[in-house]
Amino acid sequence: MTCPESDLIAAAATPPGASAVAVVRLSGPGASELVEDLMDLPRGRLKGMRRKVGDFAGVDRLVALSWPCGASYTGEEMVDLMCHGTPGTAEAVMDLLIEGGARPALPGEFTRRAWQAGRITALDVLMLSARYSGSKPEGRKELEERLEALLVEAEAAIEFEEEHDAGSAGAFTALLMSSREAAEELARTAEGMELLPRAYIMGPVNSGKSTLFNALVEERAAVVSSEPGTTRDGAERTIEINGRMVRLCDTAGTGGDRLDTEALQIALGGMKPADRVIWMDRKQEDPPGSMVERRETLLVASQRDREDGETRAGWLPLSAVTGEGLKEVREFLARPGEETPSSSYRKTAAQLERAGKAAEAGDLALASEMAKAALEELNVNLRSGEAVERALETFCVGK
Amino acid sequence: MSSRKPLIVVIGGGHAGVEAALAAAAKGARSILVTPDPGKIALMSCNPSIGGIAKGTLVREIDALGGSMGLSADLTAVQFRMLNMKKGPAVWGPRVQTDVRQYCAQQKRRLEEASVEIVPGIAKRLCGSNEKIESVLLEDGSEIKGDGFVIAAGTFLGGMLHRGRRSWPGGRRGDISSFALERDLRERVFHVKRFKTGTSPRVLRRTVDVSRLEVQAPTELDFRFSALSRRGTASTEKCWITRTTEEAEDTVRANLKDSPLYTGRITGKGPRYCPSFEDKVTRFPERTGHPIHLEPMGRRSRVMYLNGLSTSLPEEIQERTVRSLPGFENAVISAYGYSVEYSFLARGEFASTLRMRGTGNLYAAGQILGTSGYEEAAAAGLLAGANAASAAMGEEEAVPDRMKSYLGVMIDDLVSRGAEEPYRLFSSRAENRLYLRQDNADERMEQLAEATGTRSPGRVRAYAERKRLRGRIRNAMLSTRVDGITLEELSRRPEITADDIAAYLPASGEEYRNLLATEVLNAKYSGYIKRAERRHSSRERFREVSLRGIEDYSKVSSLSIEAVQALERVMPATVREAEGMPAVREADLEALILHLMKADVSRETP
Repeated sequence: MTCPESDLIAAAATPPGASAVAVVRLSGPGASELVEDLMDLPRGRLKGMRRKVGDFAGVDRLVALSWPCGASYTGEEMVDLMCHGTPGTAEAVMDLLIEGGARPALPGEFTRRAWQAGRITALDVLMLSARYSGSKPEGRKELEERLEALLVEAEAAIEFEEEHDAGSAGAFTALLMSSREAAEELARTAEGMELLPRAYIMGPVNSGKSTLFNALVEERAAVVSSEPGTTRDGAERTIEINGRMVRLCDTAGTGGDRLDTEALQIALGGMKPADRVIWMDRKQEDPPGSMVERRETLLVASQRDREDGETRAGWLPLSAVTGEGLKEVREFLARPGEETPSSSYRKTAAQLERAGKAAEAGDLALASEMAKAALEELNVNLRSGEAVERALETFCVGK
Repeated sequence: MSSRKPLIVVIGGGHAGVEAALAAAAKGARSILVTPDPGKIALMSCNPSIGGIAKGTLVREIDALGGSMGLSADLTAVQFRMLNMKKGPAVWGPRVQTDVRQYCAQQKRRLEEASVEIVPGIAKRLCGSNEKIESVLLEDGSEIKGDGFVIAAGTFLGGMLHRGRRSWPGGRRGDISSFALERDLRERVFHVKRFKTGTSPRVLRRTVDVSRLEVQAPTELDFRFSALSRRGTASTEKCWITRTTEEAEDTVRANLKDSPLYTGRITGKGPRYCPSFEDKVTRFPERTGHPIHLEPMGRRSRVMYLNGLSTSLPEEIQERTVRSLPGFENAVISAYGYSVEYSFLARGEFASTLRMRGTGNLYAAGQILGTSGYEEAAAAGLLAGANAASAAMGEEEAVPDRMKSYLGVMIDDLVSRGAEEPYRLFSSRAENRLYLRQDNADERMEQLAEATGTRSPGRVRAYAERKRLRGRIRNAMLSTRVDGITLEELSRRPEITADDIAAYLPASGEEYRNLLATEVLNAKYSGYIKRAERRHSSRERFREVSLRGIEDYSKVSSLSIEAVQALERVMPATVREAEGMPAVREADLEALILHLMKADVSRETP
């Protein structure tokens, strides 16, 4: 098996705090060589499936376990470093690995790689996710039970109410209402805890992206300069909007020099389908399709305090100076995403509302079908293809 | 196949036997029907009604296959009633109260018209090997040779009646049962189990003061089960409803010691949906005032059936119980209730064709399959008779599809899961309920009807005509646009009714309006129907997958403890077999399937 083209990632695989042993996992091309260097081992000692004990760059005496490409969890070249669990040790090991060229792994990234390499199936991922993200949220089980009771009531009303005095369409409707409320309550709770998809601020160079970024972050995080192409690193901040956390990324502009283009390519490479785009352009020209295709995009006509002329239909006029349009940008960022637990509860609630309408219209059979779909929404929503991505997002690092 | 017509022998003259004999005859076979009493052919041994929720839809399915039940029920009905009209069109339940005697006569006439030979007698045993049964030997010593055989003996198969402390062999009050045939099946190493069912006492109409009872009138909606029946004004009979009193309930509770159900005389399992009155008061002591439906046994019948009061208590207790009902103070019982225990084939002993395991020409239908109910029996009878004839003619046997019919749901449930209690159809058993409606049976049954070949040429022509009309309606719905969308799309909106759609189309006759209503419903429910079919086909793919590779069920994620224990004990060979285990719930099956999907991928977890 050939290893996929990827970079070297590292992360603590055990939770922070004191413990007997802490594990740091390193995966990607060059993993064994990096550890060989840091442990002062001759080249090739960690090639294949090996175990080496020794000093790790003076930080700790630890055990290194290595797997070759194709035989590890991630399917890549991989090394697990088992160091002492004294506070700070794993962090120090991590620092050395980062210094040596690895980058910190994203949540669920090891498992994502394992999945991409065909080492585990999407279903494994879901099961792992379910196991590691901990117990179901409070109220979830109650909702499921309530929905089950609801279905029982519906079926009894269909089969037996008319002739056997068992089950009641009225009780079914009442249960529908209370279940819908419970689902909505769960949706609200979930929303409060969810990480929204990232939002990227993009657009031609010098269209005021960093100014907006800073206005939203409410601190001068990015170096603001009127010289085109100042932002090359792509700053990222997690901000709170209406009680919800949003990750906001500033990018280098389009149409800049070679360095800008490279920086933008890197930013684009890290984007996911669920990420949103705030496209800023003073001239209000249509953005290139490749950047905003199939993404939720907010078109922003920037620097309205400086620019003349009409704002095009569908574009939001914005001025960081006067604050015009900032409120709408915040609303865009705080909108719940498509594939989140809260959206699944919202769908459940919506299904139940439709079921209520069907029951009112005298179609209990249809209402029951909709209630079934609502219940399936709770169990099955994770099974659709895109849901795997989200499961990985909510996954603990290093499993 | 030889040039002579094959001969199908049907054992049993109940609802299953009649349809089996008629189906075989409709296919061009000769049929012989063996029954102890030709005067009681197609007798309703229990309540005098046909149809109901899901069951009424099944009668329409039988009709679409060319069966007789719908036609005879239409002709002999004394009351038409459409149940569940406030619960949605998918669960409407056409039902009739019938004249029991007239129904028997109608069905007997149909047998005679189809040249089915009716032989009085009781089957004693089968002759020949399981692979090829040669003949059936009767108690009187005569022997009937045949090419195919259908056992439809109902409660007569090892039937034992119970009332009070008395038990006696019999298939029905006043009729003897066949223990010899049951023993023959056991000796042929078929696994049989016991079920129990019961019936209510009948009372003389003139002894009941019905003026004090609530009248149950027929529904306004006029309908007929059969596409071939003519509408007309049928003379209607009333039904009444009364409720049990605390006195009745106390009487029963005080005398449970005399109930064969509670003294251990009856070991067979009875149906929970149709419990004896003893069970009702014992299992739901807090509830009082159980509804009792008073139904006439026929047109101007002197006898009334007490639906809901099934009991096998001694005669004097039955009398006291009945007389404690309001309006029944002077009631005279004309026939007492009783329980009947009988034998049926365990799961795995018959296939979806209703051919018995390891046999070449032996079929089963009716209560022997573990079902209960006239409609369930009749539908299975039709399938068994048709398949017996098909096999004898060298044709392929038919298997119904559970996505398309209640018949398919029933056969698949029995074959895959088996019956834990006498099996009755409920609309809830159908995943595709929004499609399995009473208004579209002919369309749903088209494929199966072609496979069974049991429709008369007249029916085939009538169906072809309806199909053409349906095609025209479909085209009109797809090509007519209103505000930029087709009528088909418009139909999907919840608030749009068939009448709304009809307003956009040229006015036409009743047939047209009915078919349009069906098409509007098909469009309205299409999303749910497609989803049910998708899920079904993905489940089907896994049904024959082997489970032998699973060594340790406790390692299968998300399996319930009960399922792990049951699976380790039974060690089923395939997913289908696991599906038949009561301890294995839907969620466990999903977990098993997930496990099997993963098993393909070799992996190593650190």
